[in-house]
Amino acid sequence: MPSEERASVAGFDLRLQVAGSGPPLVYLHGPDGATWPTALDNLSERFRLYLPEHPGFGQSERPEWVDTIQDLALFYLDLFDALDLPPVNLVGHSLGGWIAAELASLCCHRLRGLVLVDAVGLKIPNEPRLDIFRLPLDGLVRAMYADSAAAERALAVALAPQEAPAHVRNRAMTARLGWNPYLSNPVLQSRLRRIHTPTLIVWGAQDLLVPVSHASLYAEAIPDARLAVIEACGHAPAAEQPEEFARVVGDFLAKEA
Amino acid sequence: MEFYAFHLMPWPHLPAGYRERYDSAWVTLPNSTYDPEIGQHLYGRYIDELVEAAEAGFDGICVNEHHQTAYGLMPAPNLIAAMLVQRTRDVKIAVLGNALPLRDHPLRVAEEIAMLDVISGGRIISGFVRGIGSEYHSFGVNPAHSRERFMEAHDLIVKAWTEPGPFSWDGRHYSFRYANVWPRPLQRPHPPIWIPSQGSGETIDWAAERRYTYMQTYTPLEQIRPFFDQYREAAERCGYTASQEQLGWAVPIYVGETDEQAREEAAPHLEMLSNDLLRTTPELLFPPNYLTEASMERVLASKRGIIGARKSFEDIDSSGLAVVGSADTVCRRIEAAQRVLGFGRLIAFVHFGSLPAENTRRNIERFAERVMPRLRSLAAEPVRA
Repeated sequence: MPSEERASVAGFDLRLQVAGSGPPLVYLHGPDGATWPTALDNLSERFRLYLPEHPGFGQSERPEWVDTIQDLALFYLDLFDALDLPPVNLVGHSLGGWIAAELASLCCHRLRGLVLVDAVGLKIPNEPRLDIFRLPLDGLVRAMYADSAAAERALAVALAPQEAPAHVRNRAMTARLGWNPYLSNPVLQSRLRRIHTPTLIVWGAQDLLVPVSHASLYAEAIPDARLAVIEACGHAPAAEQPEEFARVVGDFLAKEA
Repeated sequence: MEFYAFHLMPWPHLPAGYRERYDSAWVTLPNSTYDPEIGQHLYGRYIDELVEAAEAGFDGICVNEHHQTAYGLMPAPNLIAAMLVQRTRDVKIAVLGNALPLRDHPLRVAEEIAMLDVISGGRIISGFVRGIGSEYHSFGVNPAHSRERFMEAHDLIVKAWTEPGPFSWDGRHYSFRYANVWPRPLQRPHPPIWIPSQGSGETIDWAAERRYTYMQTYTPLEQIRPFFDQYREAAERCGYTASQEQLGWAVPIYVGETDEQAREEAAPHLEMLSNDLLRTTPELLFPPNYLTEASMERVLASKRGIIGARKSFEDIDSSGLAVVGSADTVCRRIEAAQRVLGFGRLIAFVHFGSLPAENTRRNIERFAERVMPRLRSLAAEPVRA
């Protein structure tokens, strides 16, 4: 189980969950917030895990100067400095994957390895997509899982009354960052050529929110990126296929990065 | 008391199977279900109805702005206002749009309202709104920036109307090297500004600080008092007592020969407004960041009934979402509401839902002849908070 720590980033008091030992691995969470997925327990046997809560999510306030995804990419570069980390293994899921891709395209020499997991950030023109901002919470949670029983279990947790304020905040901050263009930055794709960090793209084969076509787009745009598609898995591999996810990510970062 | 006739200009011909096939009349209801040839006749009829209201003696007639919806077909309210300017002589024309954050160029709004004001001889009331949440889905503007864009566009427009140009503007959302609006408006310092709202606390305080008329739209009667009280309290904090003219109640009204006839004629069309044209989902109506965390609870509470279950005419009538009855009944109900709420402007939806032309005409006539004269003297004195 992780312990809770705080770090000061440009004057902002950041909430972090930390566990394990080994080379540093920073995990950037998705729009569902800073819940600790089971897979991170497995990974913490090999790495020192950091799971920061993005400003504006869950219990965290939003400083006025965090308004765009690029602001968050710079924010996490500042976090690496604040924690005085050596080159970092950076794993980003969904919205966190977008932040990681932006960060890597700006400053990849600060990274040791990069893993993008069902990442938003790119757009395929005219591709039909589920609009997460039109889905109610139950529809959104159901759309995240390939296995309907897993979805119902996750929903039971998500619908607990004490979780409601966090959901409102998570949704609000996600919308602030990704309302329009829809969860993407039109210039990101051309900037991905700047990433010379060993990179793994991990995707749930049945992702309904960000179709696996986006995995190919990332894999083609980032030099020498590898692609791992996880079967029987939706948008959240670290929650739905934790062992497989931890093995694929852990092995890649241990061997290649 | 001043009386204004308000029209949404809705599309009443919803497609067969609408309730089963579509979750809303907003955002995604296909525009293939709109027929422009019928639309031509509807626009003509609806504009005539507002002109009839002007001729019947209403103090003002109102147009408004909604986008990509069957609920109202005035995406460009200044266009309809321009037609009304040419069709009328003395009546005030209230543009209850413009939805400032949805525009990328606030100076265009300043120009259009100034044009209307000059051409009409100073008859324009300039409403400023943020736009319904659904319109942020339709227009792609980030609701997180809605309030900032509203405030900044407002400040820029008022400055462009009142201070000599050219001046430069360096804001967070808008930036101009030369702001120099031609023509300037005729009314000094500028056309009256009205703020229609659903009851956001920040908006109420902001409107009271500037002494703008605050207008509460389509809200259950018992929930309006706290909004108006907040306005009056904010005014006292600003060192003045709000006049009743600074508060407006916007409500569908139908006057029949008898209570029974009024109910019979109005009920299906009020139900259509409430259950079909206003049909939406919480996600469409309140996109993330549209309301501040502070306002969310209060506004959601006041709108819960509106976006929730189907409403019968009895529900609508008993909650005061509409005023329906004989002239006597309508007078009595408005008087009672006025005593509780202390508003000085009544904005009557003289048409609603699929109300036919003949009923609309009779409604306007009966209201103007039998209700307005009896209520004219209400709201002469300010009410203290």
